[in-house]
Amino acid sequence: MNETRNHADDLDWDDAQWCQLYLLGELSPEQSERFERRIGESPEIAEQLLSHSDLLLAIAPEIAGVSHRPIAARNRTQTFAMVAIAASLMAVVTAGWYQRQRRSEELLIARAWVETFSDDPVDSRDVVVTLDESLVDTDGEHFDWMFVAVSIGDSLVQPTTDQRERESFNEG
Amino acid sequence: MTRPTTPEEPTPNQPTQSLKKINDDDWRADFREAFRSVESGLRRFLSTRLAQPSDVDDCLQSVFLTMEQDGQSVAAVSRRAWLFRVAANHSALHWRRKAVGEKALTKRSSTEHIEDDPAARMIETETKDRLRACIEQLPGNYRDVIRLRIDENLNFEQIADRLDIPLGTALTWMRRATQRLRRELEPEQDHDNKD
Repeated sequence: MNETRNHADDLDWDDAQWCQLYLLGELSPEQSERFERRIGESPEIAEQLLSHSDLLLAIAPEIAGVSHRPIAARNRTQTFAMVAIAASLMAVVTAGWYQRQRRSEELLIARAWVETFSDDPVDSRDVVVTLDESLVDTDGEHFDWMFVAVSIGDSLVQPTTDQRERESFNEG
Repeated sequence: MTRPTTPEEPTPNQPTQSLKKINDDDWRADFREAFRSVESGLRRFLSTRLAQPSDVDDCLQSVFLTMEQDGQSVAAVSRRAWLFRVAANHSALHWRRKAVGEKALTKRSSTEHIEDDPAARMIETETKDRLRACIEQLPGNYRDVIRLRIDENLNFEQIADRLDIPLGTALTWMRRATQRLRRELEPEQDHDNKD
């Protein structure tokens, strides 16, 4: 409760504002007492208070569910995810290149793809990748780097079940 | 009013409490504080709906019991609002019992009729959808204030500081935001009354 608000502040408040601040616990004790007297004296005020109660009860869960991450921050996160994906891809492709010495073309394509997501040079050592060997066709001629990238991207972007459970628990 | 006895306080000899139990105690203590802070207002609110002081006392006690039983899921910011809604429901239940006889309604909770009615659930869902859309369409500054107050539970002085705006501006934005949202919940009202 805000104990410091000056009484002069409430001179131009309408009934809706009184109801709202009372329900949010933002009135001083003296203001609360004055408003509670009005509730008892006026069924109209009582009804308006109930209406505002319903409004607050309806809004609260919806507001809590609205994403409120700043757009800039969200973009930074997305950019980081994309760079991580790209760096992972580069690590995979580079590993394949060292192994087989025949993938210079794929490596060039992958590096170009990486650089579209960041102005900074991306080093394959920046990101630790647990590579699913089954994704790399070591016997075939073609190294499907885009398929690997998408697979790794999914694992980076999508939260695990444990993460989701933790987030759900924290939100609850 | 005679309040029900509080749950047993833990003693040092009791087994180690689980985290859940500790959390239970936290929300109960906070909710009781919210109840205490609006008890006078609840009493006056109920007095506008019930003629007899003894009925007001009974309803107030029912509100307290409902809070103890069902209050855990209520967000901190809307606890006072929830108490007034529950008080209204209990006063309505009081009159229904008088009208149709107490026996038929003894086992029905004050909210049961809403939960059991598919049409009411459908309307509630539609209202929530409309409300959610309306929140998304609010101007950014309105949405910021309402989110900071309701989701982050900052008071208006803190919101004014955070957004670097005068306190009166924060209050005005909140009022205008809620006016718009209120219209979504009350479509029968005059929508031509612009902000």
